Amino acid sequence: MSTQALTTPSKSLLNDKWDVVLSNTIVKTGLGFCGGVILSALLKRRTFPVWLGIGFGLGRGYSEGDAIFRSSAGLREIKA
Amino acid sequence: MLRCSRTLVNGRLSARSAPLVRSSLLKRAQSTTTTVPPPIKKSHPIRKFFFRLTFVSVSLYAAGVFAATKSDPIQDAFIDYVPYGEEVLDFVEKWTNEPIPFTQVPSSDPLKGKLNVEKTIEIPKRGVASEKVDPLAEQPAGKPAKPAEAVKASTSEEIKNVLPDVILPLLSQNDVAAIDETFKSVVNSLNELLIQINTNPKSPNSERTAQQLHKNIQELSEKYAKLSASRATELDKLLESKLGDIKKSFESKEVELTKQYLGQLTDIKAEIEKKYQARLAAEIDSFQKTLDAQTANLITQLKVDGLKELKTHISSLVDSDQQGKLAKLEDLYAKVGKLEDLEVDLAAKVGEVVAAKDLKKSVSKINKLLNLEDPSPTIAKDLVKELTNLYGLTKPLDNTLILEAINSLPSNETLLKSGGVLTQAQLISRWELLVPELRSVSLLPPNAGVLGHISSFVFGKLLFSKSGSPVVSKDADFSGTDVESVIARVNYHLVRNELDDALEEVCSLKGWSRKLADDWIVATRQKLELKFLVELIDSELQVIA
Repeated sequence: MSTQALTTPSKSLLNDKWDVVLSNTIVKTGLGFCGGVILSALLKRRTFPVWLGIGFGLGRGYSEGDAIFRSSAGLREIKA
Repeated sequence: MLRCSRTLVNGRLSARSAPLVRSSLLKRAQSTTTTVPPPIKKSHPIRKFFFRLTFVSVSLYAAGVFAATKSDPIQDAFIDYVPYGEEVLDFVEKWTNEPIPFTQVPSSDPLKGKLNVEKTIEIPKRGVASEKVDPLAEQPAGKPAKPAEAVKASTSEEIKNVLPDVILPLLSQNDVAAIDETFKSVVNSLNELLIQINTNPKSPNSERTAQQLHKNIQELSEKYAKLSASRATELDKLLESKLGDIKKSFESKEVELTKQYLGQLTDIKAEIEKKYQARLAAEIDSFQKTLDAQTANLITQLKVDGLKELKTHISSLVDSDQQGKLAKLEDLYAKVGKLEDLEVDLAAKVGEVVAAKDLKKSVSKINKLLNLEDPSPTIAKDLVKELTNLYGLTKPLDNTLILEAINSLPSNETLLKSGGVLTQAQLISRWELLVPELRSVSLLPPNAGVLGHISSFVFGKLLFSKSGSPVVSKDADFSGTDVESVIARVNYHLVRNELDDALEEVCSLKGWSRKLADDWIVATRQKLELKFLVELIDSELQVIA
């Protein structure tokens, strides 16, 4: 991890973070969708469980992405 | 005492008790007359003591004798320490060894007289000890010594009386018969004499036999004398012949030994001559060497003397010619010395100049590498090589500033890892690639999340781009701190090749902008550091030169 961080150019730090956040959001949304589909099948093909699952997934992805962006502690305190 | 006490008692009792006493006494008298006591045997202590003493001594002697007969050490101790021990032992031994009754054994003294023995000596058990013998004391008192003839006659008669039935054995002829006839006749004569003595010792034939025996003995002695004489002559002859042989052998051996010794003598003589020749040669050689050395010494001494004479001569000449050509010789010598020193200084200066030239060449090479316009793949290796060369050149100078400057340079590993230094064009292109990223994060709030980043990205597109650099005056500062102003100033400085100012502007960024520009800052700073230190070394070299 540390070697990867060292080799990563500083210019693409944010891009890497975006990659992680977007992939995580897609995965979580997909999981929510799947859960919603299953629940929809159980509830006589109602559509709202699917939308609810997607919403949960998006929300989860957003919250985790937020944490990823905020977790870079000390970035704003660098002194030249 | 009893009687007195009784009378006293009786007196005291007086007449009052007189009839009672009388009656009791009478009773006692009657009883004594009727029962007679047995007679008491009186012991004799002296007799008993002697008896016991005798018994003890006899038993002790008997035990001692018994032990002495069984063991020699006890026998010695018994003889030495017990009185009359030896006599007792002799008596016991006689008694034990001669079981013949005393009546049949003749006493020692008559046997002495019969056997014509003058005296006999009894050897004691402790051994023979020399004592003075007094012949007078040995003779019995009152008896004069007998003459020899009378003794002989008496002894023969006594022997006859004592040993009447003794038969003398005859000599055997088997042992001597083969030796000689004379021995045979002697033996026969002796045997006849013995037979006559055995048969009838008083017969007249015995004298004849004795004469015959005497004659035979004379013949035997003559024969023995002849034989011994002949043996002596034979022995002399044998000795003479043996001596002759020995003499001959000795003479032959003498000749051989003489020859051998002569040969050895010649060999030794040759060896000695050879050794002497070698020694003589060595001595001659050493003597010749000594002579050569002496000659060389003499020649050297002569040379030294000649030089001394020449020196004195030259000095006298110089002294004499002081006013002439050689008057300024000392000044010339001093000037030559100064010229020599000057030449040495000049050589040192030339060396320093050469070193400074090399240093300048190295510094200029490094500067050239740092200011390359086109990127080169081998710039890192070339830079490391030149820096090593520079370090080697500056080390002999022992300049603290230069050494510190070289030590402050980035290490070779860092340079090789980072690929050397970037060219100006590379730095500008990297900056231009970095600018859109900086714009996208220019509107980020502190601790921004996903929404903040999205909004900054979106609204960053709407910002107006700036260019140029505002003129800084004392009255007002129009230089903005926003990202667009910074980007504009950095572009301005980069175009003008003011790398240090551009770096200063980028370093003033904060937040994600500063973080994203970190690599560019590191690369630019490395180049600036190298440039500054090389310039420092160059200026120091100029100061030294």
